[in-house]
Amino acid sequence: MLDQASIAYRLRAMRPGSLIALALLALLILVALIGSYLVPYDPLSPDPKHALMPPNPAHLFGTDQFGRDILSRVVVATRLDLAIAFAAVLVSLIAGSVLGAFAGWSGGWVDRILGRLIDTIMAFPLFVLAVGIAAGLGNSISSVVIATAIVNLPFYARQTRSEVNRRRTAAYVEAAYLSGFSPLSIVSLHIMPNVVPPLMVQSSLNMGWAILNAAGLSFIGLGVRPPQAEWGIMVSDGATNIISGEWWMFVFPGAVLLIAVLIFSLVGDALRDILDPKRR
Amino acid sequence: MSALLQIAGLSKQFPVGGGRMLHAVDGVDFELKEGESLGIVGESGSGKSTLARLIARLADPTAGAVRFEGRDIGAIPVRKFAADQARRDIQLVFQSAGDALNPAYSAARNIAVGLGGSRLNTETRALVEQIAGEVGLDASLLDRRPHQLSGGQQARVGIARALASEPRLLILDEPTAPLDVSVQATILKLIDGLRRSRRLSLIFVSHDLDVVRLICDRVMVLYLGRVAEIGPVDQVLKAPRHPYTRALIDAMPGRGKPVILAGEATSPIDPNVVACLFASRCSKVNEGCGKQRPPLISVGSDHQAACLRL
Amino acid sequence: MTDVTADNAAMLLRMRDLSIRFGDSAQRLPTVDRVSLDIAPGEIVALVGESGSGKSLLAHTIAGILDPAAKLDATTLDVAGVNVLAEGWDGLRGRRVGIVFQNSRAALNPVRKIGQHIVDVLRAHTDGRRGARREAAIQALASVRIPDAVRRFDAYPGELSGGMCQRVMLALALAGNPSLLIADEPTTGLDVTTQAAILALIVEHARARGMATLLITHDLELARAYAERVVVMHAGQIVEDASVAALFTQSHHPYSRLLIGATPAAIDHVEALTGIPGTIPALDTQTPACRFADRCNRVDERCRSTFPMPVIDANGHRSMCWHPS
Repeated sequence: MLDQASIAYRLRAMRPGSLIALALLALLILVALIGSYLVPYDPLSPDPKHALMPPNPAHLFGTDQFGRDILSRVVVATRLDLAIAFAAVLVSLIAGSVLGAFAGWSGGWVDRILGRLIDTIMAFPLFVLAVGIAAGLGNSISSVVIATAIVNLPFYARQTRSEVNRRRTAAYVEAAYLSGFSPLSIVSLHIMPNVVPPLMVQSSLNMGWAILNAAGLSFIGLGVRPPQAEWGIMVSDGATNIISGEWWMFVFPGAVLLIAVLIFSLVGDALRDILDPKRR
Repeated sequence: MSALLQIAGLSKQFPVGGGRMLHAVDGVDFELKEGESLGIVGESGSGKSTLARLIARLADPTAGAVRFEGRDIGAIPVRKFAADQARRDIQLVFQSAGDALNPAYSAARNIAVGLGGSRLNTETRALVEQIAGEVGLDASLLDRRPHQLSGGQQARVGIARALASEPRLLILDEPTAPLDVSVQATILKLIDGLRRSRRLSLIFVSHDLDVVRLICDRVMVLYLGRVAEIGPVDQVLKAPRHPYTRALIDAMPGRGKPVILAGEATSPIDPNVVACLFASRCSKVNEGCGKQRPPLISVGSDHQAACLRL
Repeated sequence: MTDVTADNAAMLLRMRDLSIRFGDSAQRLPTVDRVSLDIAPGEIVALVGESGSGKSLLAHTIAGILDPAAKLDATTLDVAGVNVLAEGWDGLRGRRVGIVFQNSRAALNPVRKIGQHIVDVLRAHTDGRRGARREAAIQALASVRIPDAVRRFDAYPGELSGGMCQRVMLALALAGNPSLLIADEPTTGLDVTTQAAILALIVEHARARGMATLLITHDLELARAYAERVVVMHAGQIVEDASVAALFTQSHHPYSRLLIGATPAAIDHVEALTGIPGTIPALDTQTPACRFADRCNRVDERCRSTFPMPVIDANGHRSMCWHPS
């Protein structure tokens, strides 16, 4: 889709803000990959002697009611939260773009039926729908992934549908016809390379939302279960203790969650700049 | 020379709602011999682009035949025709070259589409460079994306892609319309040169009679989807027989006082099938023109016109 | 620079050394460079050149609708007797100078009846009662040969063909009774029969009203057929300015020669067509060279080291070339 030389060129021509966003993303991914080997404490084993300690040199983010180090838990949770969000986005990206491409290319009744189906999903408040799906599938990480994927699917399906539909009659698509390409190869080889870049932007923006969604499901007790370290559970735990003054239990996981969402949003903007074929 | 292409009774109608039909192309007949070049001229709405798309087999005709080397390829649905042996023999160069190139691909990969692949390996790259050379496109431009090329360069890429299929019939739909005259001149010379070197048969759609005069052996004048006049280009331009052809020629700048076509064009939506469609604007009209569709009749060697008042 | 014409008191347009710059870079050459141009009352002048030559920019400058980001610089710019450098264009626009654009449908408000467009202009220029203005508007529509003007008064732009919209645009431009009409590619994209009708109409009004006309076109054949004088622009400079007869029979500048040779109507056989090598220069580096040097078949050392100055012969034929023919 993009040759290396032109990616390197675009990287050089990028705005500094985009570069910072990509650097932060790299850092976030690094933390997810190797964070569990670096943390000073075991995120799961309780230490009742040091329960509910405010931030101090030994525990920079303080400890929770079981005496677990919050910094260690926040860092270790990165991998799980990103993995859930990434898996969910990947599933909805693939399923949504295949469905959308099919609808956009076929047109007619296929398009109408798929369109109605997607409208039906969109008719629910998305988080409520996710709660329903996760509750129906039972408490597990995979049900969080599936629920998040299903509620995100309409965005990809709609966008792909409209992009494919718009390009179906483009002259360069007809030129591919003239060279004897089959409809399947026309969609995959000639249309999708133009559709994937905006989908990547959408995915990145969506990652933040997926993280929030996964954390939200855990927050209300669906999905990931304690004692697993997960940002949503930690925020949920912290929220119950905030009245008694243990603010650090709530603030640090919440802040990290916020930063992660923000990074993906910035990366989405950066991708928009990099992938736009009309920009040099 | 035998007929490479025979068009018989070719029609294309589009539904416009309420059960009404727009007759874009309406019973067109003509033949194209091997190696010949035919210009198709007409105003916007004359159906010239639709006709080009029907012959290029990008659209299915409502009625009539498109016989290529004697075989009616018009009867094969467009989606099935993609796998037909004749598919690559007929190529179209699109109107605005910039929109006709895939923005996600480099110039080289756009040309490779015409080879039937879109991946570039060493072998296809060599072929692409060879064709690019043939159309006067510098190899250093091949890695650029379409938006980084000038209008003339885009036009060359579009022509190269069509040539890559090794076509025998090349249809050009206003290939120079958005270009400056200086660029148009080089593209026209290129087309003429390719026609000779590759022994191509050409169908050249244009609104410019002067361009058609330079490129084509014969010219066909379309009016509301029907052939008004067809014949050798010099003969038609010097001695047009149809009043519409006359009006088109007189409207060319510098041809003395243009005949201002009075009245308004008849609607192409469900037109009267027993009247001349040009009657509403014609200077020679009489009552007979409203009672009969003028047939295409011979008015000279290889020269035909469809007018009741010849 | 010397005056380009002897008699300049009676000129409708007087422009001396007009330059237009974009951006602040000192390296960048002006987009329009030291252009001088006179138009006499009633004269029909064609301004020709490739896209990017600056011809539309010049037309917009005269009409007072130049992009505010552009920096304008001139020693003289008098339009219809008004020194617009000092007094500005207010009071001139729409009244003394009318303009017709290429895509007229886009210039008309799609939800306003075409008659109302004309009435709006008339209201700005004349006083009178509503009924009288309606009559005048219908008359204006009829004067540009819009058939059935009474009924068309109530039509919306979307209901009219491109040619009809262009007629409405022309009626709008003429409503202020201008002494200069600027027609910026008025027939590009229209059918040849419509083009002929519109241009004939413009010439007819120009003659009847004694209105000067600046016809901007990329088509030399149109210039030859409808104008009296042709001004050729290349890369923001006027390279040649001559009567139609002189330009087409004995053009001095190689660019004009090449343009004529690239025009299909002037050519008998496709092999005789000449393309113009290269493209309009990017103007991003300071250079003393002639702006046409890289595309020219007569180029020599002097062209690359010294900029050619405009020369006017006894017949008022102006050109800017070290090697005129």
